[in-house]
Amino acid sequence: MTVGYPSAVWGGRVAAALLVAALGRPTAAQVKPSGSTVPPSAGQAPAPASLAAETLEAVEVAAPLPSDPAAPLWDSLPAMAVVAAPQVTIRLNDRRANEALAKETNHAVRIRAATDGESLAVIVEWSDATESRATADGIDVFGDAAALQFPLRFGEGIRLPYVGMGDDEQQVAVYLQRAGAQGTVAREAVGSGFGTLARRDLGTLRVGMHYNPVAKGWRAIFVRPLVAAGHDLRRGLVPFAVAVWDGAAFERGGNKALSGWKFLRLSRYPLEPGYVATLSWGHSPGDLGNWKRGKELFDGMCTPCHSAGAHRAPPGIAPDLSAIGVIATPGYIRDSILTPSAVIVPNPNPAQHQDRSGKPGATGTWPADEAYVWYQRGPDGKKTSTMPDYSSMPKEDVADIVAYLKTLGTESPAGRSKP
Amino acid sequence: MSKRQLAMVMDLNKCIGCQTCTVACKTQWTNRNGREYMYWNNVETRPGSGYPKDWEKMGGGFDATGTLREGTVPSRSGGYGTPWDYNLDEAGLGAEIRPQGTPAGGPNWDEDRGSGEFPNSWFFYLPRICNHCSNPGCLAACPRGAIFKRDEDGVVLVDQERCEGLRYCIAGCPYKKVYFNPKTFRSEKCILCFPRVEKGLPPACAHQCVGRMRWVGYLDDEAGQVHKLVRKWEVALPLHPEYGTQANVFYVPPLPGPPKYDAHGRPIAGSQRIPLAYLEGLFGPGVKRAIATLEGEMTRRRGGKPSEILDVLIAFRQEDNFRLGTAPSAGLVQLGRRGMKSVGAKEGR
Repeated sequence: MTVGYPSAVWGGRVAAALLVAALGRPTAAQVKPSGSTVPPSAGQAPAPASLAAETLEAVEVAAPLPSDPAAPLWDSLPAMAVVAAPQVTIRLNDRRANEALAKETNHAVRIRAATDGESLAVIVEWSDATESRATADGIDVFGDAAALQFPLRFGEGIRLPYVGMGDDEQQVAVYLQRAGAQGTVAREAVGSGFGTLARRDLGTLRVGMHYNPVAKGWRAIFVRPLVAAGHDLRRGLVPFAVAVWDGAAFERGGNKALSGWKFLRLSRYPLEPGYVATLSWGHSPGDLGNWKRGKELFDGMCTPCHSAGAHRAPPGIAPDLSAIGVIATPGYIRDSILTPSAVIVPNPNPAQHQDRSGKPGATGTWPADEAYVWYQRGPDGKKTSTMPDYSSMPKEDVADIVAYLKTLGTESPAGRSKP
Repeated sequence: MSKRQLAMVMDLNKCIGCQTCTVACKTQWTNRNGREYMYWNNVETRPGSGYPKDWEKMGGGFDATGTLREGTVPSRSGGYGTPWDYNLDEAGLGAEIRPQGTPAGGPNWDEDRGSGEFPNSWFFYLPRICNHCSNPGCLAACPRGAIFKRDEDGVVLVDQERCEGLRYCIAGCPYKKVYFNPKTFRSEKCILCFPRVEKGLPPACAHQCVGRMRWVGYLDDEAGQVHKLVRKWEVALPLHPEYGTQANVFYVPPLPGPPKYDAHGRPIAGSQRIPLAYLEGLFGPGVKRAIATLEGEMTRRRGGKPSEILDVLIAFRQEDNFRLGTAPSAGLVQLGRRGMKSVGAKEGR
């Protein structure tokens, strides 16, 4: 539990209370930014109650949005606390990064948002004891970084992409900024799963990172047009996720801490009731079952392949679920059980595991070990998940398992075993 | 999986540690734009800690089950080393010229130490480039799939468009032959001079080798000297085969050398200067047989009998060392006629 910026009254758990406070009133009127505030437009609806704890209202402010991470406006915006969990779904091969990962804890990230009707600003703040920057000649030196992710397509009838940089069917737009030797290095990219991020122009992005050496925390700002390169965020509810990197812990790429999908409420635009209903599953008391029974079911069926908390399956056979309670929505977990082939997690580099019993190619290259490949590809190119299809599982069982999985990674980090 | 594999053989008995290969590579590829510290080709001394320092202790490669092992990324100061300056300003005022700081490493730093006590001291040189492995640790480590083997020759390359400078490849390469360029924020490595190879020219390091100790050719080219040395005669061995990457640079191990001398300066019969176990630690269990073959051939030759192996290793004509097509290197023949300048000028430097 840490406090970042001096003006921020943030410690993790107060978040929800303050959020409710922020959502329950016309937030714009509370704001005293450097510029003037805009009165709330007519017909504005608050965030859906079922998603209140997951939703942040983008405060309406007068144009233009500042580009300076130190602008006073940002301090005046209400913040939502979001938990970012160290990435343990897949394991990378840097020994020092993995040693640091074993000691990592969940991060309390604070998100603020504002819009001037043209652009959207998302502010990401997190504690970090050290300011790490890439250097002009550093080889094993890594800069602290932050990223903001939106689905490329979203709305009623469109499922959320896999939160780890999207999937084959549902791509994500990713904005990344990293503390460079001088200033910030930014990148705009589109992703469809682990390792797929491809640079793409996603409109005029304004970024900035500022380290507060007193409070020992970073603030990163992302400001982009609401409509950028055909990517239109002018909707009532905009899903987003964030990730932060600690350079001192050798974090880069997949070694990071990431949040689950959260939502921005743009009050100028109407909520889509069907979309809200879809996203809300698992957020109401009746949706989820008994986590204790869920654990029993999970331990009986899923642990041969999946690691979760103290239980360790053979590494690499399937995604490690130790932090899934933080990064996955209940709906995603449910879909993964019922229709695994519809929500395939992209496979890490298959060359990590050679099949030494297989027949090497003409030049001695071993084939990849199929045991570590998470899907098969049919002749039509369609992927079938290695995970069995549990579509016939009774609804209560699914609800119990989801209830259990939603607890994973959310407890105190000491409770999470080393991967 | 590539269809063919271009490979290199180096005869360590012929390496004189002159670093001409290092300079050839550096002037061709790495003397600029963030690559200054890189040695795609380096020559280190054995025994020694090599370059980057203690690279053999940094992990990477595959374990016995074929799973990628964890590794570390070397640091600039501890691993690759930084150049030191001299106190030239003070020296101008009469002070003794001294390095600033305490120099702790450099190219061939280890050769001043060697191993063993006079008169039984020994060392040998070990030139290293990327091994263009059949199962590259770097390729397996890259979470972005930015590293690939070329179909036509198995050369391992980093796609500069896909690379994001994450450096897992450096951790994954057990030979530490991938380098991070902090200026371009990409990883880079030896490219086996593929633009030269495509023109029929051997890689610069091999081409410039004063000792004619390098051979370049396709492993499946049975008429080629590389195939013969590696597959037919088995006198050229990969470095650290236990790393499980199947390196495609092969070394003719150094002969264990003259016998040791006793306290009275008399040769100790049956003794060997270089311990066999040391060589096996580098080149695997094939060392014994390779050395037996080489010594057998030398005995034959001394007896006035022909030895194709020794003829190849002597390298009477350097162009025979390179077989990049089906015939000896056309580029090199052309080079002989037209001179270096005209060919070099075409390379778009």
